[in-house]
Amino acid sequence: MKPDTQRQRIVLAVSPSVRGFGFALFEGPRMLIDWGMRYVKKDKNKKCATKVDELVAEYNPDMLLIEDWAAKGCRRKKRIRRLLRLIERCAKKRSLKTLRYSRRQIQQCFAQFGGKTKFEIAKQLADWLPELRQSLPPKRKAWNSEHPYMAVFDATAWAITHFHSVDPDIRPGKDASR
Amino acid sequence: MARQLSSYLKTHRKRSGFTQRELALLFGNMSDAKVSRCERLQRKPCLETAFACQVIFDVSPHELFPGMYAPVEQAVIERAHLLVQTLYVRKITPRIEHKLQMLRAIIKRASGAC
Repeated sequence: MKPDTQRQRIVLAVSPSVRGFGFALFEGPRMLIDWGMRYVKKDKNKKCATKVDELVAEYNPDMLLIEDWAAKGCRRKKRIRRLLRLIERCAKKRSLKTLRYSRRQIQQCFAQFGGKTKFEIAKQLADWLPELRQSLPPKRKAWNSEHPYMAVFDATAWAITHFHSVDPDIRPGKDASR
Repeated sequence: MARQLSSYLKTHRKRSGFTQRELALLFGNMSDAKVSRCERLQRKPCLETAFACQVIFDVSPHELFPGMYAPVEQAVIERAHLLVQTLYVRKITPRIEHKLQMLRAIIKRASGAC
């Protein structure tokens, strides 16, 4: 029988956006298993919560990571805050541990790697995780809306921040994915 | 490292950038719906598909489908233990000793493998 201590934790990070949400699923700090966007139309909060629930049912993660909507300086709209609370309630029903990280914590984590803005953080993630490289959106111009796929990079950033908070020695560099 | 997911086919497919339809084309004589079912292990991939995965992703079938591999491994280990007990009852000849060594190696390898 293999010891359970060798089992890596499966962590699901979710980041809501205007059109749905982005997600990133990690098995341990170095393996990105699944990632992507889920788009919804009409009754967005309910449908997003349902799709998050489907992901949880499919992958049975050990932990869910979301943005800390109650943190000081959180600029999320009311609908997104309601959605984050709804996701947290759904996770609680499944006895799934939920951790919240603020945007400030993300920035503090990535500042040491040279990432300040959202795009710089996304670029750093694309550098560490080759599977995300092909999906990196172009740098946003002042008159553009945020590219919806940035939500995937946001979710990935929550996950990396979490792993880094658990073990500051973790460097998701070349060995970030098998 | 011990894995948790039963199938990593979707992970490798997404890393490669292929769609399910493109992967179905590479597998040959398969639909994207069947690829989807293989990814969730709702449908067990046949040997040809498992080998095709190895060719495409350079990952062994046992690493791609640990959910299929684990019960097979467990069952083989149990049967190996039974066979060891059966052989011990007989007179130990060089041939039987060789079989016992093979069985012990199988059990040891399976217990120590990731």
